[in-house]
Amino acid sequence: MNITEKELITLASKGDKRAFCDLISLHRSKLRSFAVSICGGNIHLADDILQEALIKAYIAMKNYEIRSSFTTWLWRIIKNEFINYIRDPETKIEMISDSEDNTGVTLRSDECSESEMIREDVKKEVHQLINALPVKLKMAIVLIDIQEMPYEEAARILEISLTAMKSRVFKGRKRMAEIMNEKKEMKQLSSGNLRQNGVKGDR
Amino acid sequence: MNWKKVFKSLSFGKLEDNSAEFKELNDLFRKYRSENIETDGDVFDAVLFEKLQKIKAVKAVKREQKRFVPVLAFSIAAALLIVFAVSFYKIDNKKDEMELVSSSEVAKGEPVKITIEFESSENIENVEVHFSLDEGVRFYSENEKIRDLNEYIRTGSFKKGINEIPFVVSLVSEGEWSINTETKFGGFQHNRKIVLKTGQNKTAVYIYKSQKVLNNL
Repeated sequence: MNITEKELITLASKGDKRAFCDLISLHRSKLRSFAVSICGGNIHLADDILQEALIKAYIAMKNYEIRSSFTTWLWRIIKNEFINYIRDPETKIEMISDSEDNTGVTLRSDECSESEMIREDVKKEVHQLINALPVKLKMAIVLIDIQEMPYEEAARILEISLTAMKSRVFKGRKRMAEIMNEKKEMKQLSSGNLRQNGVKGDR
Repeated sequence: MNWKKVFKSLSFGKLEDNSAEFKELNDLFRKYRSENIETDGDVFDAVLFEKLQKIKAVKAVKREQKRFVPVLAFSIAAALLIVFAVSFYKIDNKKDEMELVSSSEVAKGEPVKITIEFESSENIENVEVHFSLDEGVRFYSENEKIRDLNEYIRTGSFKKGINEIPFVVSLVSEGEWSINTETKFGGFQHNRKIVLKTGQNKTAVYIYKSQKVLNNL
């Protein structure tokens, strides 16, 4: 018989760490996706901050009231930890380069296929767009456009009104559309310059 | 850019398809969501579980301290003795307790390059680093003699500052295996424990460290 989420919550609030891990594994995929989006694609950094936040959640579990939504309660803790990190990254965890982290364990770059490269480009572009947003808009966009969370739930997590939530998403999307257009214009300009230079060189 | 068009196309709740800019943004997010598949969830769980165990250990120590208070009140003389005894016990425990300093993961079956670091306050000659390897892990080398080693002593000098010692190992069988290193310098014994744990597609690598005062008396 499978243990229910409610039973896991009860056990975890009594300090059962295995139950807490099982409980988190129900939300893990979405939480990690959120963390990676906020951390600009740096999986190691995202996992480190997320685990730090989850440890805080575990400690706070004894104060959790079953009447309120566990998901909202958990996401609020995670959100606060990431806001703290974004506002003051130096006091938290050092940025880790893509190729090597602080273990000194070198990560090998395997040969990438074309489709993998395209996937990486998509990820890179999304992370760049999200990174360009201020914290408040970043949180709103990741919850709505990446996590596909209902507006009401996202507003509860961010502890703002529904109107404010919609406004942040609106502003975030507007800003990202601007950035995309700016990039396109830059590309057009540089390709125009290249063509001109090419003609010059032929002469 | 036609801002009238952009503002018209924006609506609360979703990205509208009738604007090229927002269609592109929408497509980009859709692609991102479909490609954003979680990997190595088991490694994440294992690391979280390890970190949680440490929290519990800290809590247990705190509970012991609370129990200790009435004993102290019961007899001043006895309490003084206990305070000394407990203090020494705790200091020793703290020294022996290994702290998880980092974790990472590499592709399963691949050799793993590990770098351990030691900070020295001065230049020191003839520093020995003792390596001991579990049966499931071996140095990665073309030399058979090196591959067969389960103990190894590396002797060298340390300069003032950070000293890095890189080495490469590979797992010879699945499971959880450790490499322990012991180095004595600057009045301390510096221990490192590197745990390699095989998962489905990856090998998780954890590095722990501890140090204790060398008793020269």
